[in-house]
Amino acid sequence: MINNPKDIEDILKEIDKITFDQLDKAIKETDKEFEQMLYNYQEEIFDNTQSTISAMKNNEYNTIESQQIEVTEIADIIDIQETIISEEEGENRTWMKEKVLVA
Amino acid sequence: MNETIIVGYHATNRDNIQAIINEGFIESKANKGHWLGKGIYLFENLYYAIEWEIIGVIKHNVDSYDEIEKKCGILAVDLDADNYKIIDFSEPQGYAIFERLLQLIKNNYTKEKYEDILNKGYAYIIKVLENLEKQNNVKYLSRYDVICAVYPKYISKQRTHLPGDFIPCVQKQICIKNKNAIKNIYELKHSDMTKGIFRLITNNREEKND
Repeated sequence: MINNPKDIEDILKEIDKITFDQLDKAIKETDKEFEQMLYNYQEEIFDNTQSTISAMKNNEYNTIESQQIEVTEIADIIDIQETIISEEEGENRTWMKEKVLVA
Repeated sequence: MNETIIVGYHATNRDNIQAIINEGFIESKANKGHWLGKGIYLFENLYYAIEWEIIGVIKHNVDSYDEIEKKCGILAVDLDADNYKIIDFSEPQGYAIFERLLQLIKNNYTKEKYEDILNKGYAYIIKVLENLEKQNNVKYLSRYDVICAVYPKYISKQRTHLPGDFIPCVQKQICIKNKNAIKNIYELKHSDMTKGIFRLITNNREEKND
């Protein structure tokens, strides 16, 4: 049952019996534990932040890898273009030699 | 006879799903930001369980539901509200316990000390009650099998404070203290419904950060 009135009434009567000494002792104990709880919570926030940073770094690394692959592909294209230019220049030189020889 | 069942949702790593269904839950430690003390935590609203998949399981923003589908899962838990004792602190009857303890503190300490204690929040007050139980060997909260409370979630930036304004987007947390109150645990499969909620969550989180 949810919020049984009889149970709640019993608890309220018990709370009324609590002495100052008992309350003070419980509060002092809670102060010690609460500091530790907050410290652990801060650690968890820190851990979560670190996880997020790692995930971001992984994403960056994957991006950098992709960019490196792109660069390699572009370099390959440049190589091919240079080869074509060399071959064309080679053809031109051959033609020039032939012209000279004829003259 | 109709049974009274409370349903809650628990988000977790996909690898844990079958183990929990087969062997049951392991209690969460109270120092992990769980404000109702040690126990097994559920959300009443599936929205917050799916959001927990993002912020609590994956722990960073996700662009697509695919990542959630791969890494997370949700368990639906049926609780027996007929045979087990449940207290809801956000209802007047449940809150009466808090009020009585706060009144006791107010009567015994200076105004400054009282306000200092109040400023530490209700999680602190719950801890005080737990320590009183240990000391006095009296059951205050431990007589309950399940403890619930409602927390504000400032999802929307639009705020007004006029009479007649309902409180939007509150989050009810359910803390199971006694695992015997669990009647049934089953996996809630990823579906168009869960994807739709995910889109709403993403939209709300973006708006909040604007």
